[in-house]
Amino acid sequence: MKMSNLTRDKKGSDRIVSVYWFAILFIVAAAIVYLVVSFYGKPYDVRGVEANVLTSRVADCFSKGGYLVESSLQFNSENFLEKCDLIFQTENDYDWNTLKQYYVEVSVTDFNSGGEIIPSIDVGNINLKDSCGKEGENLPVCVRRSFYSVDRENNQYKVNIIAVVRKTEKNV
Amino acid sequence: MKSLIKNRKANILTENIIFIILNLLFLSILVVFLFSKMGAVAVLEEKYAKEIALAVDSARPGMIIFINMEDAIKAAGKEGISPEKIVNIDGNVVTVGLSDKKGYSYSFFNNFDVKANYDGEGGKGYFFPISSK
Repeated sequence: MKMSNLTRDKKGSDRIVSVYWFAILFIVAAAIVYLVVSFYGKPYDVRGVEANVLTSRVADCFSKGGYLVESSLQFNSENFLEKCDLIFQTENDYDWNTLKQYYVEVSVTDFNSGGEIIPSIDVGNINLKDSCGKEGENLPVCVRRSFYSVDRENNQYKVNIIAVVRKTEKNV
Repeated sequence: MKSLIKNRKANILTENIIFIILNLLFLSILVVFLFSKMGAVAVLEEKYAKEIALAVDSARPGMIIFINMEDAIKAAGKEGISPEKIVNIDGNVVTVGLSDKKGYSYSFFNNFDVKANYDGEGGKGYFFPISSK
């Protein structure tokens, strides 16, 4: 009599353990599924890399081997894209061709006096500049960079670059 | 008494086997789900379109970039898409299509002439020769 009670109890507790076991398994699986879906459901955000590469491309256009490219002093907002082999057209998803997705601003100043050497160049969607200095996943990514350069006569310059990339819909 | 104990032992064995089988089934479903998500066509299209666009953005005329796209080529094969038709570059927009659908497009800002050539010999990826316009 005692023996059969014991057996029944053991069976009962085994079943409870396996029910709990499956409950835990389901919770763990649900958590994994949630994480995987939220990770792979989100697009890769490459705007930071893109803005940095754009800044480097603009910097290369103004300076080579540490020397300021002489012809860069002739650049202006109209000829900048052509001279630097850049194109700000995008695919027309989300009406991107109406609302430009890039903005670049370049100023060249005298390193010592801070005086403007050429008028500031700005190309693209100027509204994107508002996001600079602000933080937020849905805001365009803004990269600011300044560097020192000299010309062949040893005049010293400071080149300031701001590059902004929006493309929010495909990156956030 | 002996037969009772034997019966109980047989019961425990069957229960355990069912328990282990269910666990394995459960875990394998989870693993299949994970791999299907990781290798999903849409994820691969986005990954390669952005990778190619960023590689072109960082490149200079005269360079030839090779991108290994074995997993994408395999996925396209399953969807009946020939490997030569996976990557298409129109102007400054890269489109990667691994199924009959539209594919994924991403633009690059370098105004260079970029071509997408399938590596027919190795069959592992694409060459992107870059030249000035």
